[in-house]
Amino acid sequence: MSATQYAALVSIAATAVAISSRSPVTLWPAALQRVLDDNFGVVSACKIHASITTLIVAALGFLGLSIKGKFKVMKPKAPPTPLKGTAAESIVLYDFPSLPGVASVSHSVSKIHAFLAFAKLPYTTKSTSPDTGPKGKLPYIQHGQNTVPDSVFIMAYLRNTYGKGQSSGILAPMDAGKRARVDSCMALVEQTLPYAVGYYRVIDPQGFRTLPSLMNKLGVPRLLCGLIAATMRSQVSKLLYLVGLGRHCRQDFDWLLQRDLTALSALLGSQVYLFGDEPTDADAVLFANLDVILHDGHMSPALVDQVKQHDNLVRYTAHIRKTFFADKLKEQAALRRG
Amino acid sequence: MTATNYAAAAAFAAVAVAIGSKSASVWPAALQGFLEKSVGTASAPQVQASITTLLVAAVGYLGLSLKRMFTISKPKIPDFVTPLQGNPEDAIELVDYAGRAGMAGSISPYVSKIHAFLVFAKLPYTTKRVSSPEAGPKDKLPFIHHGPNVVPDTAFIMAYLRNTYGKGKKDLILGPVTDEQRAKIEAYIALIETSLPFGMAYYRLLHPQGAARLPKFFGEMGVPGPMQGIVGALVKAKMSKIFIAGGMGRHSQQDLDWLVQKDLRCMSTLLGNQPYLLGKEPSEADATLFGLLDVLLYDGLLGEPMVDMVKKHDNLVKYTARIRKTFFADKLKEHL
Repeated sequence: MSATQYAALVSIAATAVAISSRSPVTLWPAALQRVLDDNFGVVSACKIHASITTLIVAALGFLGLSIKGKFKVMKPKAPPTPLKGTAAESIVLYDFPSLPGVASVSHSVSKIHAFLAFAKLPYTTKSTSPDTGPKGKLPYIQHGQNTVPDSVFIMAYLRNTYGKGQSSGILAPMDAGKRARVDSCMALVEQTLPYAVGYYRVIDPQGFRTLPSLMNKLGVPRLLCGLIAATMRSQVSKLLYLVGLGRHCRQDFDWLLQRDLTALSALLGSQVYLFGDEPTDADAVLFANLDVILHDGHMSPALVDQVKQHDNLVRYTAHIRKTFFADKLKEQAALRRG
Repeated sequence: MTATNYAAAAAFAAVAVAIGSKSASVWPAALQGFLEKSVGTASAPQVQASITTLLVAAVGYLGLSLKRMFTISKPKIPDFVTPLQGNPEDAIELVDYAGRAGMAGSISPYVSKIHAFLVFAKLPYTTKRVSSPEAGPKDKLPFIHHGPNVVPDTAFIMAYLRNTYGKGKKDLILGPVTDEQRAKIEAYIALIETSLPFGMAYYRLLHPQGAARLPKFFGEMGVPGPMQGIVGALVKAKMSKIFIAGGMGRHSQQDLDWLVQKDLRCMSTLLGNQPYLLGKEPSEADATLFGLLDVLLYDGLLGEPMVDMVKKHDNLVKYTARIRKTFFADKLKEHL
């Protein structure tokens, strides 16, 4: 609730009290007053008066606020996202606190870790919360004066900034045909898999059981973990319902998930990456989701098993971890041992 | 608010009044003394009762808000599993919103998808018009009635129809597809539905030009004159909140335009010079693309900038016009 809303509530409360302190004499019709006096005695009657009047005034005020709210149009606060910067600047990637064993606890941020690794671009990572970002989400990057949120925009920004003159590699400009194929593949990954991560981490009973432990590993104090996990469950369920996927029973949800995993597995086939020998944006996105599912250590076995039905997806994830994240994972393991 | 909510609110109000009337016994003597000095002994009992009532009501409201922080949203019918196959002898009834003149399918690109699918597949069907998606088992349109089966969600509807009517068929729309074709179809559908429907919703409801047309649209839906502006404003406000909550609404208009243009460019590239996305015959991907393009180009409700973005792609415009003429000629007689 904003400051103005608090102010409005306080003034309604004050008005209610003021009006009801006048209620016996000025507002109530004599007949009603008499009914109260006869039933409760004069002393109690005037307090009951005041009480009822207060509630009515407060309710009216509240109704007014609520009607006003129904007409309020919410607008995005984010400015247009910059699409290009100066190559000389350094890249800072904003992430959640790190979770050992995975590139990031968030499949969204992992995409950018993967993209930057594929692109061999140096960067530093800072830990923060989503509300510090221009769109209230992570990831976002800081690059010189530019703040760039949203993974699709970040990848476009990096390609526009660093891709000039590149003839191969992930940063090289893509022709329209390749762009279209890569984008359709990314859309396929994004339409169900990220929501499956949310569902199986937070809503599914087995996933939910390990959620407090996951929160604790991210730095949430032990005492609050259970509470935060419960509120998170509520929020995720509401979001899933809003976007549509939460309206399916689990069986239907799994049907949609398998449809997409099967299609992705078919697109990958026996290749090293989705589009041949070099990784693309689509690989950053697919890897990020698979990495979190297979390696976050807290995922419901129901989701892990569904992914493991596709051998090539498991092999693919292992290959990318080994090729691009070996050092980071070794470092995390050493920290845990030490 | 439901009946139980009203009952709870009423019970709570009663408790608040009861406690308020006993406020003298609840307040510490020091506070009571302070109150009497501030407002006088005559008014003090009323003011005391007032404040106490408000506090009790506030605590109750807080409790309710706290409860909401922990409630879990669940499917409307928890054990409803969507059927995936039926009896080909049964009749198909497609449930849709009210139609709009000049449109091949529906004002909804998702219902349009199924109109297109059925027409590509040459499956006879009837249409039932409803005003609210709550008619469906998943609170969404479209859904179909087919014999004893109710099938919601376009992905399930198309799979159901293919499973039911596909036997012996050789075409892409009902017949078997290779793994590679299936992957392409799913990827194309995913791309078409990532940002473009949100662009449509934004330019219909939130962009000034689209929003200006809303009252007239609600008039067509049967909303009486004086209410049209109010209903339009309410829908606009509600959509803005859904937009923001769902994620797409966090984008500035420029970012949304960037996403829309990128996806239109991709679909135009994927179609190229072909008659359909996968070559010579229509597939589920074409049902999806056509369903959306028919809405974008012909619903007459979108803000101009969105329509212009689509019209930049000649092949998409021609594709839509051609499919309207080939498959929807009867329905669109005066508009072709």
